[in-house]
Amino acid sequence: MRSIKFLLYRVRRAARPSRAERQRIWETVAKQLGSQGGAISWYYQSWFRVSIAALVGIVLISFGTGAYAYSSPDVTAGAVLYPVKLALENVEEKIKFSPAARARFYLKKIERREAEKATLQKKNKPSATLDSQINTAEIKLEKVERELREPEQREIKDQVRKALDKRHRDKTKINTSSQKD
Amino acid sequence: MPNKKRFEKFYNQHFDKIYRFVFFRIGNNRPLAEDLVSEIFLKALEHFDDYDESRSTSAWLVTIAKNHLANHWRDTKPTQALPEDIDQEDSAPPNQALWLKLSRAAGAKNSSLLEVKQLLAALDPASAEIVTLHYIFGYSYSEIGELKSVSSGAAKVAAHRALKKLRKLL
Repeated sequence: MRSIKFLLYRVRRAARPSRAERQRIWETVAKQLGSQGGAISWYYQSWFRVSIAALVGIVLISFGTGAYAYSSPDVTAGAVLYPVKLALENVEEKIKFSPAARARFYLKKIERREAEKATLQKKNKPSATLDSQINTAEIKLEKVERELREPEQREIKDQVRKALDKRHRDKTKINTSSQKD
Repeated sequence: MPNKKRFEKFYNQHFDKIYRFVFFRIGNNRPLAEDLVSEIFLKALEHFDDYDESRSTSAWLVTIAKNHLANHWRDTKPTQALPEDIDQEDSAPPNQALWLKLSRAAGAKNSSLLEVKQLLAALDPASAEIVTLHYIFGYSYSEIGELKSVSSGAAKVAAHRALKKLRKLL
């Protein structure tokens, strides 16, 4: 079924001035302005404004999507955004330079993996890859703990020690109960 | 001499609308439209110091365009009666004014144009004018409000009612 708006649009389009016409008329006018004319400044071109608007939209959507992927425990292995989450984590890992920053990062990473594991277990899905990621993060955390020597790093060192001890105790409990079975 | 950037911004804001405004009034003749639009902007440039954006965004340039077209018709066809809208801007039936010289030849080549013209003829003149200004020439409702001395809300409501009627006619 034809639309009246489409008909009106066709009429409007038929009367659209071409870029060449626009440019020619501008050159005539610009000569009067006392300049050499030249092309219409790019920032007034409609294609430029539309491109910038589209680019801003894409950047905003990307940021929003990335932020959601990164922080949500529901974004787990198998989800569409999971590679985005991992990629952002890899980038974050590379930009943590001090031992304290790396320690906080690994603590946070272990927390995130644990939250994802809980989500997968609720859905009765396997979480073996998460266990290996958690183990890797623990090993890195132990390495970083040995680098925390400065007095001002005391607090973070204690946090790391507490977290690692808790994890060791939990693993021991699990091993003990599985041996009894 | 007006500031080049300021005039360039003005030119880009109004070019498409004025082009269409002139294009439909001179029988869809592109070379002639180009000449006339060029002259209109040159006139606007000459008096650009009088332009006050806070008072009128489009009405100023539309007035220049209408006056220039009146002069064009007087110069090119002195023996023929002037089209109604040129002599009596506000009192002429706007429907006729807007589709002035929308020549039958042009209509025959563009079936959408002819169909739209027939549909708009079924509306009351004020509604047809608002639909044409917004959907064909590209003026915003606030600009139409300025041109027709109504509020932008009233222009929008009139346009929507007119489209509703046109949909029934299609």
